[in-house]
Amino acid sequence: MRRPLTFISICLAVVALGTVKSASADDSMMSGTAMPKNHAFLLGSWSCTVNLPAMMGAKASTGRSTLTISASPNMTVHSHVSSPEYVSDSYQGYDMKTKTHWLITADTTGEVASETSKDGVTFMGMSWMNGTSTPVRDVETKISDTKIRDVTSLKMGGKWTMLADATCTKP
Amino acid sequence: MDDAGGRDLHEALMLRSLMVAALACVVACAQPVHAADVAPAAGAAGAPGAAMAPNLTGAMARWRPLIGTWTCAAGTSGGFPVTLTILTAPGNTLQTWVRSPSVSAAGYFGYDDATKAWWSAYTDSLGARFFETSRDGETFTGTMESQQHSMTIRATTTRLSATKFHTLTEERSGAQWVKIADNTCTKS
Repeated sequence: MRRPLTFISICLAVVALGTVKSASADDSMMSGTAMPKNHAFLLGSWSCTVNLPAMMGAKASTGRSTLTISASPNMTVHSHVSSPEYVSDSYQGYDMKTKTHWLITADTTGEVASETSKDGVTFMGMSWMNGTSTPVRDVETKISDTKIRDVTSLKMGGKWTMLADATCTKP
Repeated sequence: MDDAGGRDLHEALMLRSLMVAALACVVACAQPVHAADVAPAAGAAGAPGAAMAPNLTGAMARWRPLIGTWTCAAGTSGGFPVTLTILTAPGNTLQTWVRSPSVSAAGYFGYDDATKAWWSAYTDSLGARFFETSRDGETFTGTMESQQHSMTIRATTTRLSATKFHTLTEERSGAQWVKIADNTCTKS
């Protein structure tokens, strides 16, 4: 079941892109879960290019996926990543009480990841697979209404190592 | 999620138990399969993954009867109906979608040749996720977590007919397993 790191990279990077926060997000709702006010630009289908650095004997490479983002119940956003070799789903929400963004993911490799963020830009958490956990971090940037970017890193051997740099564009 | 977190987690448990139910009925539900019986062309309407991957092979082939759409009622939550759709996915896995008016969920299921165990990964719009494993494909155990809760759960499935199965989901409470959900699913 163990997958190549490239798959991990594509997974985490592309999925996390579905969480990019609008610069003018409105977090002022009274209670419960809510998404940033101006997240509508995220909804729809995105074409993603994921640049993977050389790592662990593997050469640098580029992967491509389709990212589909839709509104889901409980004021959350659902992101679906699809490629011929890999599929994943994630949900993202905002906890009004703790003022924390959350992001959870499951995929075809059996990985489950959970991350949180206070600013909606830098997400940190853990990834679990085969009974082992690894710290994960995503830094997400909205470049424009039709371009978003995410840089994914894993903490291995006490150091953050960049796994992927993903950019998605909207047709 | 706070106070509502209990309800949220409970509802999440209902949904995830449906997913485990579908996946855990491999032994109970699996029957001899012929290629004509399992044409995987019909994807879930509206589901992003409507284009299905190649059909299951090896150990996963026994799950083919599960592919399709199921209607389920969760017995301990007022019987709210949900739709469960199961598709093939890359990597010789199954992709599962659960939809109800208030929650959506997605999960994946596969077989690890190295450990000879079935695994199930799940996530939903309430912020819950789990990873479970099973040695026999009937009883799955693992940990389910939300933003505020964590619990050890077990799901056991019984086949009622070729198109109907029941699943009991329990939570570990000390040395005891306590029932928290039961579901019945019927294939459309």
